[in-house]
Amino acid sequence: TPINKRPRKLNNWDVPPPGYEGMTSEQVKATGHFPLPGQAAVGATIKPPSAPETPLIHI
Amino acid sequence: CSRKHVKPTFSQTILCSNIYQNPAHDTNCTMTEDEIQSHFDDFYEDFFTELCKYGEVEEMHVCDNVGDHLIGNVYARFRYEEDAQRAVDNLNQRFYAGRPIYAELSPVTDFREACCR
Repeated sequence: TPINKRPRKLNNWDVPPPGYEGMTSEQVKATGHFPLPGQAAVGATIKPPSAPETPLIHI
Repeated sequence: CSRKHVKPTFSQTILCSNIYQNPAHDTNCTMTEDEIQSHFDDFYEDFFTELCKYGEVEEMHVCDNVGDHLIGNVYARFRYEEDAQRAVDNLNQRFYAGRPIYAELSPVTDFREACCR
């Protein structure tokens, strides 16, 4: 069997994300909703570190 | 490593970032080792076979590292640079398993030496 005719178990190619059907891959990437690991997702807010909580003092 | 590598203008090797989603990295994963292996084997076959449509593929590697910049990365070396370029241009317009593909040329030529500090 030539490799391009080899049967495969998966069917993952050209499956767009649900809800993004009809958009091109470039358009979907431009939304920023599918960032690579380590990249901040667009719309994600960067939370400042929260102030340390005051320890509860039991009297 | 500063991770500030110069992206090559020509290369036989392509990088598809974060393509393989290893189920074993999910903390709730209940798959057996055999199931995880066949999950990987199916992915490898599916990805390799498709890349062959762009030209002869000499080697393909999937990173199992968990670092952000390596996790799930697929590196594939084509016999010819022009096939690699065509693959990058085309893959960037495609989806795989419900996610857009991020493809680029990679400077890696020898995978045994593909390690930086």
